[in-house]
Amino acid sequence: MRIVLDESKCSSLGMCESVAPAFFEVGDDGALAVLQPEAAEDQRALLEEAVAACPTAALRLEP
Amino acid sequence: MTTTAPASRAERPYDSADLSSNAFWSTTAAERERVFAELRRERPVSWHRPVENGLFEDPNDQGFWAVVRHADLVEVTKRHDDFVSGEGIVFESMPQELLDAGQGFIAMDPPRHTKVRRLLSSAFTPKQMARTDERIKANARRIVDDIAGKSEIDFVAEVSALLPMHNICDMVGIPDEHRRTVAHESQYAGGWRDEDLMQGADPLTRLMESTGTMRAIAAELIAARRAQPQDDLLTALVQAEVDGARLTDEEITSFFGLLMVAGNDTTRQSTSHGMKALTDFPDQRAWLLEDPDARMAGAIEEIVRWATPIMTFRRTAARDCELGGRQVTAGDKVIMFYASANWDTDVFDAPERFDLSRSPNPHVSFGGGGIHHCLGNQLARRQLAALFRELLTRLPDAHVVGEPVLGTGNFFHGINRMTVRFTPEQA
Repeated sequence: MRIVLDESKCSSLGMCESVAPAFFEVGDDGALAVLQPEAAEDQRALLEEAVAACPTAALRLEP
Repeated sequence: MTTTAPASRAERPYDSADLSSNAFWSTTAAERERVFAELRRERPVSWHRPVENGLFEDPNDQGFWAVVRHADLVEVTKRHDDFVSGEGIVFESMPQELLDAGQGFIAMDPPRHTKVRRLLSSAFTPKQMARTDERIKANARRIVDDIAGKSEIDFVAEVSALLPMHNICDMVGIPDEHRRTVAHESQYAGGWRDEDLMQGADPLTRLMESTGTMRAIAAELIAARRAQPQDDLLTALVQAEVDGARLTDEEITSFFGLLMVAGNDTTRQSTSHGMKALTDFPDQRAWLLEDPDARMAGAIEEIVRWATPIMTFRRTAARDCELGGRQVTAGDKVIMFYASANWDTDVFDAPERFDLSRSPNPHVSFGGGGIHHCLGNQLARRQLAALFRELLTRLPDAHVVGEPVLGTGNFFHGINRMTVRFTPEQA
């Protein structure tokens, strides 16, 4: 599964980072980095929670 | 649920519950909760007459929708295209000059909000906050050092007001000589209804005066940072570019004002309400102190829910749409009631119980998770944890004496003065 970030929507709130800090990090420049774009299937529940936590719908999982 | 015909604002009948009078906002949270409970149960989205005694007469202000349920509040927060912030974020209509001066990016909408917010986020990221933690702990220590030799204090002036003042001023880069002025003046933006604070002054005149004082300090500091950059948030704002353009001094001044209000007056209230609750519920305090390392983080969530330092925020409907089965018209004011959402029994078991072990605790004191979600939420949590750890371990018998002097108004859930007594620390 792949984590896809739409940078035009992201406002760097860090809500995803607070749910899944191993996968997301808002850097010192205020830009969100997806630390591991490819994730194992056993991480799906956690990542779905992180995606749902985003108020600007900037994240999605594929497939 | 019935859907009302899209009557014009002026014709829409008002709900029988009173959320608009000064009397309602001068009573206690427990009294207000009686009204909210009825609305949550029976009329979760309801239309009300304009709030009494607004800042100035606005002939177009015909009332507001009250959103009182947790789920509806979260929905309004997340529908930021339907419910916008750019027309103001408080109950009252405001002169544009004040809107521009004091509300910064909290009263902006996408796409500009997204860019500006991202700029400021860099100072408040979880990792940046972890780096700031030593400083936050040192500030908590400094505050307790200064009171430890006494036996009775006004907790608000000597603890609650100082904790956020030092921390936000450290981050923004405000030198000591301006801190007390800035922290004091920042109170008027949300506290102009408070009789105790206002001392008879005309609200609009005093607000303008406070805005002027803040602008002058901001202007001085902006010029200083342009001449000589430092490692602080003000320098970051001075150097930042959005859409290829530098921020104007006006914009930076406006962000400065927002950071001071949002940074000072929120954690101040949570600290005071936390101290009061820890006095009123000694069993909870004892439970926390059995294992503060493991229990503090959860305890802070409950303190912040209990305090609900900001009681209301406003959005304005950008288009005709539906909300909770009611037909909302473009231009309608929509007010979210955070204390009500934090007491919603659909989400919280026994919300009237101060339960430091509450889990999960999806309170909305930092917002409902939308694009305006509290930028400083990590800062607030760390400050409160540092302060209560320092205070409760060094002054274990500290307790509130008598009743706190509550603030009045519909924005901050304020405590103006509160006596706390303790056995002085042995030097």
